[in-house]
Amino acid sequence: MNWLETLRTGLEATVTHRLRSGLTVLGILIGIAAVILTVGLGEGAQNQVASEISSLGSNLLTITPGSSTSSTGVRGGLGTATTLTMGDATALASHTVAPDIAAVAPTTSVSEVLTAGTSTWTTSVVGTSPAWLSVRDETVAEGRFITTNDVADHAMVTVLASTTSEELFGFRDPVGQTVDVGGTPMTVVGVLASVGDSSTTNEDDQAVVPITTAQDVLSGGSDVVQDILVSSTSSGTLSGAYQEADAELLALHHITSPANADFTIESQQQVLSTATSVDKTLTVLLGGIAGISLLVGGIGVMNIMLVSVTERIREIGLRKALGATPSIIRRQFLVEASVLGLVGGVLGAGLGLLGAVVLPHFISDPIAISPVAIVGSIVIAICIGILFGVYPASRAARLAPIDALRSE
Amino acid sequence: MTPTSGTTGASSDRRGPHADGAASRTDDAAPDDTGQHRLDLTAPTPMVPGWRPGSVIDLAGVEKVYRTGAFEVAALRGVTMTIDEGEFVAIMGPSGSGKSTLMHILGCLDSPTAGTYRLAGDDVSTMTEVELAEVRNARIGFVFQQFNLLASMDAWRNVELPLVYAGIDRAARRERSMEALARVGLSDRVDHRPGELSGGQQQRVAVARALVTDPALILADEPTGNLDSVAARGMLDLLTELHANGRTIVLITHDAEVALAAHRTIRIRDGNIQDGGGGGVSPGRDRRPAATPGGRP
Ligand SMILES: Nc1ncnc2c1ncn2[C@@H]1O[C@H](COP(=O)(O)OP(=O)(O)O)[C@@H](O)[C@H]1O
Ligand SMILES: [Mg+2]
Repeated sequence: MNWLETLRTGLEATVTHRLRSGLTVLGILIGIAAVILTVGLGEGAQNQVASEISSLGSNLLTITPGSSTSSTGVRGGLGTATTLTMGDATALASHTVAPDIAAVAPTTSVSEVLTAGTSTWTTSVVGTSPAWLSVRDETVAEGRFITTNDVADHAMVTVLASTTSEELFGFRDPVGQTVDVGGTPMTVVGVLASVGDSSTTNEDDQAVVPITTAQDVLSGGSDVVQDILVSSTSSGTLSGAYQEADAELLALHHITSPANADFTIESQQQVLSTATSVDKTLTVLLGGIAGISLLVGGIGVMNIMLVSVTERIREIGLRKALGATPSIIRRQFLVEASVLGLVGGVLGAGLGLLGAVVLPHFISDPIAISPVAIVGSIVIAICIGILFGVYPASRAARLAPIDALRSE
Repeated sequence: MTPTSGTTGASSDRRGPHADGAASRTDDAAPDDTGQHRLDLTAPTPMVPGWRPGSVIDLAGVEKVYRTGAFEVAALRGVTMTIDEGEFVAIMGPSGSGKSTLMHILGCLDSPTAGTYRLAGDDVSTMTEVELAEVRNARIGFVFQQFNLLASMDAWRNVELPLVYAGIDRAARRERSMEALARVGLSDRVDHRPGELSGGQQQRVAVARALVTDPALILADEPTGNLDSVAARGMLDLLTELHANGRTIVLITHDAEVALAAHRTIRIRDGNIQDGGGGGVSPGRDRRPAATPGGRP
């Protein structure tokens, strides 16, 4: 009996026992779809965090005043101290002092009410230097960004982020228009390109002004800056940039022991590392749930297979009595089990992929498509089918035909 | 005896007999003697040259003990008997005497717990699984007491099953199944499932399945048990016809009239042969009775 005939016999048997085959396929299908979706959900969450990190810039350092831990072990007023100045920012921008630092943007931000005509909108007004654009990896959609001259002239100009512009001017072109920022009229010179949603900050809703203007008008004329954003020349030189900034600021502030530093330098990775580790835990957890659902599905398949073979021991006996060798019986059940495993696996993968595409529209969580989960779960499904379909069949095939025929 | 039966004497030479059979169907003029007269009742039954006359079935001290939990049932207690090539033998005995057990051993469906069974001279206990499968497939046609048809398959699909394992192609299988079903008078029921057939019709499907490979030895366990007297008569005529064509036939019955159709009756009681086990070796016994359907004594 050749393989083609065996294949035909096996396929015929799966069709003959439609209900049983259907249930087996369903068990495998659900198990695999569950694995694909749960693993995809975990990986999707992780990918989201990773993309947030990269959108913030993997070569970005944020220097804030105050130390996270004072020398006495008491947590200092992080962000409330006023130890950073424009001078610090200027010093860090020097390429001889800090060769790994590409750009430096001192910032001061304050929440203000903006008015244009009859529209009012409250948003964060950021005072900074032209370097901000490259440090934050933003681009200008219309008009221009603030210039060195604007900073030098304390110019009354502002650049609006896309959402802010829309709220104040609708779809009219705001460039050249005047907007009232906390009581001071300023000319809109540009609009930032939209960067899309991010769950941590809304970069599309803010107004940027020259830092000198911000110090004059908004924070009361001092040289103090709230924080200094520093970008390294590449992500590989981030730690070099960190050390240079740290050493330079300690020197400028005449601090001898790093433990007494009156500023804190943080990378975006540090900010988000906690979030990442939480998501990793989530992935492991979801992976565990997926594994359990595959196990339960596998036990279901195993059960159906065992029952199926037990019910068919008489058939095995008869086939042997009519001249089938044990290896032919084994092959028939191998074909059946593989066909069920494969059909269930492919349908399950299809359902899982469909879910990965459709579900995010309803649950707002991204679901990653993981090839490892897909291939792995199909292989496991086929293995389960073969193990629990072929093993009992091959045992029955070794019985004397009459013993198999007499089995109940 | 039929040309096919001649090959039972040399089982080791019968590798791929089915391929031979298939080939002979398309090439009747070939010197190949197997299957040439398949299902052809009018063909003469020449002696095959080189065939060593002797026993097809040779049992010596065969015992069968069933162990079910703590119980042991001795179904056969040392059966010694021979059946010769071309014989038509009836096995009679009361219910539970071990007839079916004996038949299953003869059909290589079960193995004895003691003693030896030689099938055409070969000790069955030394055969491999593959050799046994071939013996069951090609050399023995077994009619079960409970028919053992596959409920999910049409009559003709049930009949073709042995041919599937013989490696015969689909078209030839269908043709030969149809022939076999015609032989048992079921041409109009080929596409019916066993559940759609009467007990007698199922019995005849089972007989057709036993005939389809054209085996030299036919073993039938109470083939008339489920039939009315007319159908039983037809079944006996069919077996007589097959015998007339040279096949060796062993049937189980507890009907004395059915036993009359055979030329020898072996009586069995409590797992022992009462009489008739000596085979056709005794002088004066006609080992190969007249090959005419009406030749019953
Ligand atoms: N599978 C079995 N397990 C245990 N005992 C069996 C089995 N098959 C048959 N027997 C016993 O063996 C004896 C002979 O049975 P069997 O050969 O079927 O008799 P018969 O066909 O003559 O009616 C009976 O006593 C029966 O109960
Ligand atoms: Mg019986």
